[in-house]
Amino acid sequence: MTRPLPLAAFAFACCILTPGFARDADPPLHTSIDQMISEANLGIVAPIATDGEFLRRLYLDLTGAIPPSGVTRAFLDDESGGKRGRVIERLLNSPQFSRHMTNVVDVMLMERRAEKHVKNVEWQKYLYDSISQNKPWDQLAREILAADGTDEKNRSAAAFYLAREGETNLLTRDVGRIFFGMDLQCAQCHDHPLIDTYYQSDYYGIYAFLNRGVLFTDKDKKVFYAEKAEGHVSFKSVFTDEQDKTFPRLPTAFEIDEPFFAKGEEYDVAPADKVRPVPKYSRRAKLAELATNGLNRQFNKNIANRLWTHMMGRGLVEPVDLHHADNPPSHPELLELLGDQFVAMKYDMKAFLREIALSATYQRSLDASDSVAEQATTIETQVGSLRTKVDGLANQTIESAKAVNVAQAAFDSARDAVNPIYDELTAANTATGEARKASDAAAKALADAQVLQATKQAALNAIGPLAKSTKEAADKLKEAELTEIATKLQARADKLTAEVAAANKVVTDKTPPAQQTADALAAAKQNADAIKQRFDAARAKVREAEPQLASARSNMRAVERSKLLGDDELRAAESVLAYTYADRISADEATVTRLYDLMRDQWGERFSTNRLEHLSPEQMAWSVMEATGVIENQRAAGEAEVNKTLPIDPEKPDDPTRLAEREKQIEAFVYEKTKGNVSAFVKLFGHGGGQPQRDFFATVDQALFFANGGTVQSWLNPSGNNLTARLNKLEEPAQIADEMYISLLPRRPTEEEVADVAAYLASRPEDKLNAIKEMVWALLTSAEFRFSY
Amino acid sequence: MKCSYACGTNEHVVARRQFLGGVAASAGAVVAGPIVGGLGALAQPASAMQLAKDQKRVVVVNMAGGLSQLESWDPKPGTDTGGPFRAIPTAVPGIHICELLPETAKQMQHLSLVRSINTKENDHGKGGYAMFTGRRQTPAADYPRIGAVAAKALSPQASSLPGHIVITPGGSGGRGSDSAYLGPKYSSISLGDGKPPKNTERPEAISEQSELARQAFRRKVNDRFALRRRTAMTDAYTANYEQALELMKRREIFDITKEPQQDHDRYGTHDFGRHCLLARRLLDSGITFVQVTHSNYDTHNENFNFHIEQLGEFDSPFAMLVADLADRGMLESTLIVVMSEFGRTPNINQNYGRDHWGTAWSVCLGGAKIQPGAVIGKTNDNGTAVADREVDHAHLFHTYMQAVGVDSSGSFDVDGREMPIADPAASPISELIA
Repeated sequence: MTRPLPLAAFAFACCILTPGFARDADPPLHTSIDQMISEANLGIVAPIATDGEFLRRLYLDLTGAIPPSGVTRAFLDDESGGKRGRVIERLLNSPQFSRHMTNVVDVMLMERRAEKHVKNVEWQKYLYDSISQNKPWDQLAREILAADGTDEKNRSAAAFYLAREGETNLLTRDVGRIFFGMDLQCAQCHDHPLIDTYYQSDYYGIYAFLNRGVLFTDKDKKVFYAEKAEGHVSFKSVFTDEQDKTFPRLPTAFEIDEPFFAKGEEYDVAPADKVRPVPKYSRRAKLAELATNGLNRQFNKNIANRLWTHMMGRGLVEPVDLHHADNPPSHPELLELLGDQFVAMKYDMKAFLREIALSATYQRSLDASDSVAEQATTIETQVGSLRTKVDGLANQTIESAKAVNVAQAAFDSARDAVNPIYDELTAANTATGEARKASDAAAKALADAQVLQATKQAALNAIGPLAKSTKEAADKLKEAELTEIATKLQARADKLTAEVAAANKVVTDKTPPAQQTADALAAAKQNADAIKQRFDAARAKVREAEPQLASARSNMRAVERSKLLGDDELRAAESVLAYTYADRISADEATVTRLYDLMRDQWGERFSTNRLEHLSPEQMAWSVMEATGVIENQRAAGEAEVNKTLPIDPEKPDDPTRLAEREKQIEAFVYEKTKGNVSAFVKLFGHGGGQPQRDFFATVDQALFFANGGTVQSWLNPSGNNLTARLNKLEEPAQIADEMYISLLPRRPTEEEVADVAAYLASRPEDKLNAIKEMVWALLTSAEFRFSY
Repeated sequence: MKCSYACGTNEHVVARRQFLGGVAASAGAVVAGPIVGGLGALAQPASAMQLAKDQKRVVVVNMAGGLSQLESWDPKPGTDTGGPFRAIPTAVPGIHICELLPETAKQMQHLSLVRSINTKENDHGKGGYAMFTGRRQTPAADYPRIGAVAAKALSPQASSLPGHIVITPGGSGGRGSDSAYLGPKYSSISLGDGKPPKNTERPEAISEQSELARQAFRRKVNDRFALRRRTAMTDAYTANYEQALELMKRREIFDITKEPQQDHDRYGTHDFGRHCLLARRLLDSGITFVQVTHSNYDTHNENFNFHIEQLGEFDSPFAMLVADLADRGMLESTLIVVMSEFGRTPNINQNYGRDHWGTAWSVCLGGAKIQPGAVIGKTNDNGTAVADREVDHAHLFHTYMQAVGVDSSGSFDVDGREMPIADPAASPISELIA
């Protein structure tokens, strides 16, 4: 079994290899998965897991709890073909699947952060509704990344931003980690010191999408994640003092071009006191669009890797938020394929999980076969050629790095030309803003003068004829009183005449400045437009240089990746050899065991055998409740409840729509009744808010909770049809053992285990119930229960 | 192409090579014997090596709200800022502290002072964060509190006792969330009001016979599974139940009523006195880190009256704790720190209060490798600025760690990621380390 390690296949795997693969025969994805995994196998492949092991694994992965005892029993007894495919299908369409995936996605996105501005239950309902209707990942991610909280229907989608208080650095890090699988935190202040391919500009590329975000609180104290139209991003390395600016840029992509708005024209709603600004162009909307349009391979690979990890217990890239050249996927071609196929499936998470579940890779047993020694001979020859290959690749690494330097220099010089022009453009646009202010002021002054002039003229028009006719009347009548009025009127008319003249002069004076400032504004805009043209030309040159750099980088990464994979493979092969040699020379037991464990870990990492993983806090909670019968009792109550509102139609007892709706309602009932129990498990088995949640830990308070806590003890008391009640009714020790193991582990007990149970019961003839409770407790607290495998 | 420069932040990630190396090492450790603490704990060779022969311990007294340095460790009698109190001589010739601390003054030969702290932080939350983590608070990263760091660096691997105890009125016996990336294993357990940690008592319904039987059955089930698959995780999980049993056996260590009546009389019946006595009992029993809180020193009004009252309560039990640790020979292995989130302004406001002040203030510490009877740094004549040897929270954090034998320039290896133990941009106050 020769591992190909084809260099050419790694290089440009993205463009050449993957579509070709899909085109050749278009095998279903699960077949391709198995093919690629088996090509990379090193001799050892575990057999397919037993039915019991498979069922437990599948239930935990797809519904978040171990299977109910009745289901297990029926599955084990079912001898018809295709039963695994059928149960996969049934679980994918169960309400429990939506519930569980809601939790998985919630923890992935929020990492148990405390709620802020959006209630957790509302956010979780949004996720539950989304997953129930099988909303594609791209759409879900788009809604979340574009959210500002104003969309009444999807306000909860803004929880991702709002729970992080819109803090730009935190969001930059989490968007990078969670949506692109790249933890760029260390590149905030300088290029990453340990990861060659994480640049400070990567960090600020994401940052630039987000730094215009501001929290806005409306009069009802409702908080939104608004956006401004200003905010340029520049940064400086604390080590090298190098400075740069950046436009928004997604990881592994290049800077984007953006629409240009003259100062003063950039808002639909301009910012003001107690007014939520709305820019004409939203960088955040752009982020959502560019991440999810299917073309960003890193976005696609990240989610494919995370869903793979969910099912397999280990990522193709591990840790899942450290995709980079020095940490290549264990199976790079497979990851490319998964990313591409997930897009081809239109980001359908259910369809994707189905393919993984159907693969033999997913269904492998925890135990490897015993034929290790037989493999050693094949592996010995492999090791020799692998060593030669790895040495050759080391030389290629140097060459490809040189090519990157050349392309980088060309790119940098094109890019360096942009920044000064951009500064000019920014200055010109500021000048436009100033000119606009001056022009607006002059125009207003002229308009004011015109209004004043018109008012005075109208008054004069009214009073002038009156003064004249009054004087005529006074001259004729010679009445003193009238003469006095006439004189006053004339005086007023004269004054108004003077005022009109003055107003006319003001209008005349104000007209040229208004014209001049308007001209100046036009000129400023024209100037900015001209600079914009030069800017566009400079950007065009940058874009011309981008493909060469991208290709050189991708080539270098491919070579480096091959080298690293060769190293990995060599190590894995050597671990097999080490074990077989030690075994052959009958080394001491500790050494053999140590080498066996080392070898076994290598298989697990290569997906040749299944791995042991711990249950999440929620899986633990739901599994304990399922095993002890808490769920069973609530389910009976839920069924009774639903029978009142949505009974089975006697005419059409098999109506699938009605049955599905019943299941959904029953599940919702059970969930509401039991969810309160989950938080205690999360507190004990979960990591702190905002911390990565995957690492295993064991603390004494967990054991104390199980040993002495009231919750678990109460679940062990017989009640309704729960586990201890069922067991207590059984007479035969073998029956008791059977029901106990099927309910808890869930598998049939071995003969030894049946004997253990019988002996335990026999030692306590007067105390059967307590004996049962104690054995159930012991199985609940066993490692076999705590881990999935 | 690797950059060779060092970095001041903590999130630096070890390349995958090292990560895999760590996993390989852990696989070897599985055979060596039961490992407690899971994979995270396996990846701490640095601290394991640093584990001193005699276990080091830490007790922190948190003077919540912000103790006035002028009414405690750095009095300035007779100046415009000094307030009404005198300075008194202490057991160490030349060191004077405020007359509100007569009992503490008698223990000064065991203690030292740092009088030149400038944390540039006048906010309760941020100041406390800086002093307890040795780092400034940033929204994008969270750091473990000193108790979690001490528990991780100093607790014996196989100990069944919690390594990080916070004694506080109303403490529930539950787990806090103050360990950041070190993980919940090092989170605090809060104690107070005489309650032991949660679920440490076997329910009455379970007889001793039942307990023995169910535990034996559990072990049998686990042993059988271990034949099929045994990993660091399964070992940690199964060992956990044994540790729980150990802890239940030693439950009395949380029970302050087991202390002699005369000690209750000596320490006093108020919360702080009882909590100091509990701290002594816990340290005595081998708990790594204990924090006692004395509240509240946020004296914007009536600073002087409040300090008379508060320090009147603090002085005697604290001095007794120092003296008792010394008498029991525990001082050499136990670091004592009296800290706040900040000090208080030299300026006395119109309400006879002093306000928040991170610019020039003091911390009292002693025990372990701290040079006894030393004074580090000084403020100017009326205490308005640091005059010599300015330090901040980061220097202090380094110093605490060095004092208990931890190389503070080292890192924790947290699941393949290197997390510096203390801020790499700062260093310990080396002249304070004996």
